[in-house]
Order: sequence, then C-alpha cells, then structure tokens
Amino acid sequence: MNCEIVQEEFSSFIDNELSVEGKNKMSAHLETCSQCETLFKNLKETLHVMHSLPSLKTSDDFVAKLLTTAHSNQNKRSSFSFLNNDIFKYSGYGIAAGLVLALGFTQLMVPKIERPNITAHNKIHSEVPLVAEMSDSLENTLNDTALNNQLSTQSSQELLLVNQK
Amino acid sequence: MREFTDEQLIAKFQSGDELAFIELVNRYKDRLINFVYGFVKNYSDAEDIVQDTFLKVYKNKHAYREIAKFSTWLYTIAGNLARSQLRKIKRRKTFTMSQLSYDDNEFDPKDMSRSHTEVLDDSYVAQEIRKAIQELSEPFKTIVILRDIQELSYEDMSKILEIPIGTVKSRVNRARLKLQSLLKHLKE
Repeated sequence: MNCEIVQEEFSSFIDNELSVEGKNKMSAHLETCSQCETLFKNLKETLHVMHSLPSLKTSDDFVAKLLTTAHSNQNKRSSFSFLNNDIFKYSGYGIAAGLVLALGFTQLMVPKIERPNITAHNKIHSEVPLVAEMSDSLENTLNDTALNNQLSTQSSQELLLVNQK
Repeated sequence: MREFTDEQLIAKFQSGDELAFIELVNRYKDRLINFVYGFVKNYSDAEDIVQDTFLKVYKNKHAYREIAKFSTWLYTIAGNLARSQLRKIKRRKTFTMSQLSYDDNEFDPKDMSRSHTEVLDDSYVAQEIRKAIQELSEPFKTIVILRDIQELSYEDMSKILEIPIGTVKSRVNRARLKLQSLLKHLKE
C-alpha cells in the first residue's frame, strides 16, 4: 500500500468500515511510515474534539410553540375543509350544470333576430357599379332615349307626309 | 413512549397519536438544531428551520412510508429547508452589500441575534473547528456535519444525500483531510 491509497482510506479505517485484510494492511503501513502515522494521529485527535463539541439546544418553549403553530394551522385548514366535502362538491357540480342548461334554454326561447348576411351584402356591394360608371351609363341611356325620340319624331313626320301624299 | 422505535412512533402518529409526535420532536429537536446551525450559523434562523421541519412532518405525516428510516426522511426535510434558507440569506447579503457605499462597507454591524459563541460557550479549539467547518465547500461541510457532528452512519448519509456509499466514504475522507489542513495552525 502506498501513502496516497493509505490516506484515502483513513476515514474508513477510523469509522471501522474496512475489511479485516484492509485493516491489517493499514496498520502495517502506519507502523512503518512516520508521515502517514502523524497525519493519522492528528486526524483522530481533531475528530475526537469534534465529537465532543458542545452542542446547541433548542429553547425551552420549543415544543409548546411548535404545537401551538401546528394546531392553529390545522384549524385554519379545517375551516375550509367543507370545500372538500363530497356533498358540497357534487351540489356545486349540480348548480353549474343547471346554469348551463338554463342558459341553453334561454337561447332557444329568445326569437331569432334577422341579421344582415354580411357575406351576401359584401357580394352585392361589390356588384354595384361605381358612381362614375353609373353616371356614364345614365348619360348614355339618356342620349339613346333622346336619339330614339328624335328618330321616332322624324319617322312619324315622314309617315304623316306619306299619308298626306 | 421511549421504548418505541422512530418508525413505530411515526406509525402511531399517522394513526392520530399526538404524544408519539411529541416524543419524536424531543428525540430530534437538539440534533436537528446542531445540524441546521452548521448551515445557517444563526441560532434563531436555525430554530425556525427546525420548527418548520417538524411542522412539515406534522402536516404531511402520511407522506412518510416505511421504506426509509424516519431519521433519513427528517434530515432530508431539514437539509432542504436549511439549504433553501441559506440561498435566501446569500441573496439578501448580496443585495444589501450592493446597496451600500464604500464607506458603509467598512462598517461591520454586529449580528443582533445570538451568535454561536454566546450560545455555545466554546473553547478556543472548538471555535476554530467550527470556523474551519464553515470554510469547507458545501458538499464537504454537509458530510462533516452529518458524520462528525450528527454521527450518522454511512448508509444513512448515502440515503439522505442520494449518493452511493462509495462516494460517501471518499467524500468523508477528503472533507476530513481538508478540515485537518485548515486546522494545521492549531498544531504549530
């Protein structure tokens, strides 16, 4: 066993976590290596002091304080425990279902209001000619009518002349 | 109640026997305050954390299953609360220090709560050891507190820390050697 391996196993040796064979090897090394022996001795002394360190104690009213808080938390929880009650839960579901049904029924009972068909309206609107186009077309129509009137006047005069003849 | 094991006591408490809970509190309150104090270094914070630990046990008594030792469960709760408190303290300190001017930083107000020297009446060597433990890194500090202050077994530590026993062994050794090197001046 070299020093590095021995030092890695110091704690296992102190805490009795080594096999019998491991313990024997360790003891044999410590007998022959003064450097490892000193390190091991110092480590054991430190641990001894650590194990005998004065320890802290909780305050005298620790348990009383703890129980008071635990009970008050429990009371707070139990005040709202009706929320977990099955009757409360199922009646809640019932109320919710009733409301949904009532709303649906109301919708059925209210007469339908005719709403303009927006799609059709847009379609119609897109088919309406522009004002300019409309005026052009009107003008043409008027011109045509005037021309027709003129023509028909001319034709009637011609007919009158023929008849007179 | 003293004749019962921890596991029997928690089973009794789960069935509604509050005296069993009180017995568990009396068994562990002082051990836990020493464990938690190792992290937070403030007596009143440590006592609050131990109170919170037992309140969690009281509230969640049915969460305990007899697949683990009661002490392992208890130390795990206390350790988690202590670490979370430590993070809060560190954040608070960082915030406070960043708010101070250079002159203010030089003023070191004494902690108004009871310090460990007042509480413990330590010898010089004991004080130096406690100081050295605080200088260890977080994993080493935890392992030294669990093994050498709380005297827990390697198996229990493995369960609490959720690491293999082999890792526990090597970490215990490295932590102790580091501690030893921090205490070298005591031998000179």
